[in-house]
Amino acid sequence: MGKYEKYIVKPFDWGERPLIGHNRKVMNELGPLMAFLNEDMVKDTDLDVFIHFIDVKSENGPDYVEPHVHDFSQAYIFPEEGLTYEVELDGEKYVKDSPGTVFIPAGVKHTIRMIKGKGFEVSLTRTSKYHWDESKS
Amino acid sequence: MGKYDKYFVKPFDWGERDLVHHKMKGGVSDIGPLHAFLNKKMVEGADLNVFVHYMDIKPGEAPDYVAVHTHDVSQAYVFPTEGLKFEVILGDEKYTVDSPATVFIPPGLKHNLKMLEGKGIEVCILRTGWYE
Repeated sequence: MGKYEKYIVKPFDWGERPLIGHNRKVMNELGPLMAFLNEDMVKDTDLDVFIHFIDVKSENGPDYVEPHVHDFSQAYIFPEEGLTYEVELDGEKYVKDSPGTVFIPAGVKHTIRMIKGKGFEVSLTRTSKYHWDESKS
Repeated sequence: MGKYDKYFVKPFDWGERDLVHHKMKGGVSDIGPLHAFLNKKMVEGADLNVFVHYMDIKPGEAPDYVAVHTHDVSQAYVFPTEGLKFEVILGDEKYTVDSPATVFIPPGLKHNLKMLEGKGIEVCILRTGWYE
């Protein structure tokens, strides 16, 4: 084992583990949430990456995360066609089709919901551990 | 159009635009399109840079396309799905890895990446608004 092998990691299914403010049962019904990078996987990291593999089976998709605020920025990346999603930023609602990117500056209250389709969402946060700024949520 | 519409952007094909340390024509572009998903020119104030590379590499046809280099900020290569084999250099060590996988690169660590074979995507994340 080389000294840098610790920087190469395999994703794992987040399963039933909690994720602050998220309804994990509902998320798992949409499809598995896989952890690709966080400080428990790579001690030195300052990025957090989840990928949600999604297949929206119900009409208009379920709610699974309350509006909330971070003290760091976040991006949702939808690399491929096939998903329609609704994002709320400080109370304004937007409906978009993938492929696409949503950038969420630090301090902007947001939530997301999948409306229809199949694909995956890459969630990136500019921190080592996903958490909320609970004083502002 | 709401005041936050500027935070929603569509990706575009980077084509043959320059990318520091990288050879585009005869390199990156030969194995599939590189699409820009986020940078500070797409979204003012963005402090993340994201590319997605859609790749299809036949065995034995993998080009070298990026020199060993470093960044002042951290980077991650994320390979979401099965189907790709790649070689990554970290410092003076070389690793061969199958996707799905993540490679984290701390600031200042010399690295490069070579795709060996397979089909799939790479999400390249740099913890700053512009790839440099």
